[in-house]
Formats: sequence, C-alpha cells, structure tokens
Amino acid sequence: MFLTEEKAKISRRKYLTYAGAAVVVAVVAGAGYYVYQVTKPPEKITLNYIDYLNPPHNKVHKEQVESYMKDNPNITINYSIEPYPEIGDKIIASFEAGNPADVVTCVSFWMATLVDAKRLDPAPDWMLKKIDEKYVAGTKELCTQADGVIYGPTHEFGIHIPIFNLDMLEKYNLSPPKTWEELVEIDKQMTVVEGGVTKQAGFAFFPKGGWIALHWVGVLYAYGENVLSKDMKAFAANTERGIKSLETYVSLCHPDLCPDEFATHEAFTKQLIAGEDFISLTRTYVKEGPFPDMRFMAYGPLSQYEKMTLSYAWFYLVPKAYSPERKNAAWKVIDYQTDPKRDEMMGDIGYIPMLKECWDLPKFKEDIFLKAFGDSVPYTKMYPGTPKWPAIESVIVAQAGRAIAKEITAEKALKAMEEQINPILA
Amino acid sequence: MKFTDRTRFITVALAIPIIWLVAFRLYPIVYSAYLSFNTYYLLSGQVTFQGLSNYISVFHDPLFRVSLLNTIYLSLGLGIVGIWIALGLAMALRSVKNLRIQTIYRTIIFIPAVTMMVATAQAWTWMFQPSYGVINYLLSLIELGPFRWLTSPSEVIPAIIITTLWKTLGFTVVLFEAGLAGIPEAFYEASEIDGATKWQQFRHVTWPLLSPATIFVFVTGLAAALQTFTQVYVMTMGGPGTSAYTLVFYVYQRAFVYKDLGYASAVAYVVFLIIFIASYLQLRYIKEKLWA
Repeated sequence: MFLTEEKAKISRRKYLTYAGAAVVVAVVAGAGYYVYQVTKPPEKITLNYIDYLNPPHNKVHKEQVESYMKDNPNITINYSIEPYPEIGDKIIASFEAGNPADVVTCVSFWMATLVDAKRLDPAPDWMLKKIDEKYVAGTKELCTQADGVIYGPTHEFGIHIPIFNLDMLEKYNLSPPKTWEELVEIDKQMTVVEGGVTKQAGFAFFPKGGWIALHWVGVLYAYGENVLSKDMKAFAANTERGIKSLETYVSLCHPDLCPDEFATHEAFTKQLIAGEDFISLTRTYVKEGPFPDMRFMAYGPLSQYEKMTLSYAWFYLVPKAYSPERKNAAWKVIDYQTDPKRDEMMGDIGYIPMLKECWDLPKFKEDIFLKAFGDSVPYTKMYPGTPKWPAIESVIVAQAGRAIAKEITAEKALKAMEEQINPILA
Repeated sequence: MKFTDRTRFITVALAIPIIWLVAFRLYPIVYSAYLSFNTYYLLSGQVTFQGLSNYISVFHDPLFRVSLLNTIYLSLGLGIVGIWIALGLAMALRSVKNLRIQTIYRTIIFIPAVTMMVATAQAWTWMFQPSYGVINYLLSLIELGPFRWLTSPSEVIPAIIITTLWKTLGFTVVLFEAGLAGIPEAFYEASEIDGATKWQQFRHVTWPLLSPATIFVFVTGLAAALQTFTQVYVMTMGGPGTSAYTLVFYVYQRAFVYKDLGYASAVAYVVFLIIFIASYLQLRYIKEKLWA
C-alpha cells in the first residue's frame, strides 16, 4: 500500500522528468510565440478609395496610391473613380447601405449632410496639428465645418476669381477691373447684340444648374452679404445690397453665348472673361485644355463692399464605419497624400499647393497666375454648412434663373427665394 | 416529363420574373406610397409620419403648378402637332408606289426612333445654340430668326417639342401606316364612284376607320408626354428659370436634389393620378364623342 523507498525514488524521478519536460516545452513555446509576434508580417488590410472623376488629378492620385502600396505591401487599396455628378449620390448610397469606402474625396457641398447624419469621425489630432502648422493661411477656417469640427484635410480648392483674356484686355485697351461694378461697365461697353441675340460680351457666366447659385453667392459675398443668417434659420440675402448683387450677377449673364458648357469654351476665346473658368482648377484646364495658346491672367477676387469671394474645397475623408485598424490605415494613406512631395505633384498639374512648404518652391512662388489663387484663400468663404443646402440651392437656381431670363426683377427673385427658403429652414 | 415535374418546372420558371417584379416594381411602389405619408430626408435616417400634409402641400406648391402647366403645354403641343404630322407622313408614304423608295423613306423616318433620347437631346442642344447653332443658320437663309430657343422662357418648350417630335414621329408614323393598311381599298373605290373629294374620303372613310390606331397613339402619346424628363434634364435642367420644369423633372428635383423623398413620393403619386385620369377621360371621350 505504501511506497517503498525504492519505488518512491522512481516516482519522484518520473515526476521531475515530466515536470522538467513541461517547463522546457512551455519555454520553447513561449519563445517561439514571442519570435512569431515580433517577426510576423503586418496584418493585411484592404482599403476602398473613391475619388471623383477628373483625369489630371486622378492620374496623380493613382500614382500616389500605387507608390503607397509599394512602400506598404500589407495594404491593398482599391482605387476607383466616379463621375462628379454621381459621386455625391454614391457616397450617400454607400453610407445608407452600410459599406462606404474607407477613403473618399468629398466636396464641401455635401459635407453638411454627412456631418448632420453623423457619418464622419473628426480628423485625428495629428492631422489637425498638420493643418494648423503646415497648411497655407486660411485653410484651417475653410476646413472647419458648421459644427466647429474639422473632419479632413483638403486636397483642392476652387476659388472664384475672374480669369482674364489678355488679348481682349489689350484689344479694348482696358485695365483689369477691381470691383464688380467696374466689370459691369466694361461688359456693357463690349456687349454686341444682333437681332435680339448676344454675339459678344465682356463676360459669360454659365447660367445653368448649380453654377447659377455658385457664381451669384460669390458676388453676394463681395457685396458684404450672406445667404443665410448666422444661426442658419433664415434667408438673409433679401437686402438692398443683396438685390444689387443679384442685379450685378444677372447683368453679367449672357445665356445666348453659353447655353451649355461647350459654347462656354467657345465664348471664352472671344470674351474678356468666361464665367465657367472662374475657378482654380481651371488653371489646368486653361493651360492644358482646348486653348493652350491663349494668353490669360488672374489678379485676385473682385471687391465691392468687401474683398471676398466664394470658395469650395474637396476633402479627404474617412467615413465612420469600420474597425480602428482600417481607419488608422486609411488616415495613413491620407497623411501620405498630404505630405510635401505629394502636394508638389498636385501643384505641378495646376492645383493650388496646400502646404506652405510647397509655396516656397520657386516654380510656384514665381507663378503669378497660381499666386493670384493661393493669395486669395484668406478672402474666401464657403457655402453655408447646412444639410438643407441642396434644396436651398434649387430655389436659388430657379428664381435667379427667372431673373436671368428677365421674367422677374432681382428684387422679386430675392423675395421669392425668401418665401421658399424660410419654410425649408424651419 | 411527369405532370408534377412539369408543374415544378413552371413554378420555378415563373418564380424568377415574379421575384424580379415584386422586388423592383411592386416593392418600390408600395414603399413609395408609404413614404408619401411621411417626411424622409435621405441620409437623415428618420421617417416621421405626416398624414396627408405632403399631399396638401403639393396643391399649394407654386413649383408644382408651374410644372403642371408646362407639362400640359408640352403634351398639347406634342399631341396636336405630332399626330397631324405623323398622319400626313404616313399618308404620304402610302402614296409612294415604288416599294423600294417607300422602304427607304420609311427607314429614314424611323431611324430617330431607335436613337437614345440623351444623345438626341444633346445634339439638339447644340443645334439650338443661338449664335452658333445650325437651326438659326438655316432659318437665316430664309430670313427668319434668330431665335433664342433654349435661352428664352417663351421658346424653350417649343424647342423641346421639336426635339421630342423628331425622335418619336417615326414610331407614330409606323403605327398610322399599319392602321392605314388595314382600311380596305373597296371603301375608297366606292367613295370615288359616289364622287367624294379627297377631303371627303379622308373625313368619312380614313379618319373613322383609323380610330383604333388614333386612340392608341393619343393615349400612349399623352402618357409619354406627361412623363417628359430626359430632354428637359439634358437640354435645360428645367431652365431658363423654371420655364421648362415638367412634372417628372420636378419629382426628380425633389427626390434627388432636395433629397426630400417623402414629398417627392407624394408628388409622384399625384402625377400618377393625373396621368391615370387624363388617359381614362381621353379614352372615354374619344370613343364616345368622335366615333359615336
């Protein structure tokens, strides 16, 4: 029943052998696990990236994405492009479906809707610091949404500055106007109407669709007025200056010259300024587009009561949808795309560089045309950040359109806007 | 194949189109009806019951009234002008005795019917351009115009009518041709013997016996005209101002620009009701009054 001393010795030996073996196995396994953790390849992550269609910057973004994947083999980025008119709906629909892309480029017009629907996380602190310290003056204000939060950095600004046809300026012996009313006077001098159809004008705003609201609001800002009240609960442009701004805008519309985008291109060569080519990214368009031999220049926003114009921006955003690992990976891609080397790539194709460091490069610093846009950033304001903007814009387009068509006066148009927009905001 | 196997096969074969119909036709119709009694802004995620207030708002909505009037103008223009041009072309085609030439003319007339409306509308937008468009150029050769077309509130609807007619006439001509072919020659011979003039032949023989084709063309043409959207969207986006707003374009604006799906659904159902009542009245009137 009891162990003899001999048998006890054997049991102890067996016990110690087994215990020793277990310890060795545990140590080896632990060491092996440690080595595996330290040397294992990073987790593979696949990101979806939706960009809007614009061939010059799509090429650059694609290069950037491919270069990032080369430097980070564990990251796969599915980069896709959507036509501009569809990308807003695509982003919204993908949110509704619960599978938004990891990185999207989104224009400021749709930000309010996404913010209101709480689909975005604020930008991480390191990105806020980057915007504050490294981006050009005025960027931080333009990136801040109506709720006081920055959700992502910009990769592109559109700023409303007239682009002058230098041949026409010289032909008519004109100095570039500094105010809207000076421009109206020049336009009147240059306008030629034959048989009720305008054949030539000093200006050719593109009076169709959302462009109407875009251009008029730019003029409105120069007249020192806003579209909506500060609390965004009422239409605020139906004032004496607001009426003047709409009259100015209407008088500079010559629909006969540009009823569609193609005619506007044609109008651009024959007029002093073409309205559609009012925005910064058209530096690329103007330089590499259909009129490469055209002589043009920009001098900054026109003033009236204020030196102020409209701007809109495209943002890099990371939707609030996925795991922290995916979101971190997405932000790293954006960080990569907003470093000086990548920013310089965008500057090379005609966009305003976003980083101060890039502006110091001689090729941008000495580019007078580009500088006119870059220096204007502090003199710009965006559209009001309300998710009801699409509805408000539709009303503005309809009523301002009636004023352009001479169906009603500017005063009546603004009154109609007020009557229709206030119920939308209520 | 055994009877039960056959039944099973038929059931499976029919299930696919039925599922498709339910998913892509019936469900959206029912869901849209539900939304029309609610407020729902896309992306907000909130559906709030409103009762009949959306429908009441439709009848007080100035843009809806403008859209309705423009649509009626468009429909009358397409109906009145289109039917007579198509009938005239069909009769002219029938009078061409050489079959080969008749076929060539018929093909030329029908080709626009197989083009896409988007491409047609874009091409006509360029042609209607006041300064550089080919329409004003051709009119200037006979000392007419220039017209502002798409940039004039009074000329934009006629421009859209012309574009739509160019595209749809071919189909209407073919329908009338088929109707004319169904009228027995004996009636014309008999009327000739009785000394009827061409106009009397048309009035007492052709027009009454063409009634089935005419009714079909009237009803389908009106329903199509009331749903005009593509031309408006491509050519003018409803402008200048609101002078080219049509009912369906307004539904699109409210749904996909305003993102106000609840109200847009209510407008869509009102449009459906209008088309339904118009088609029903049209059928009754034409049958009872014109061919009583």
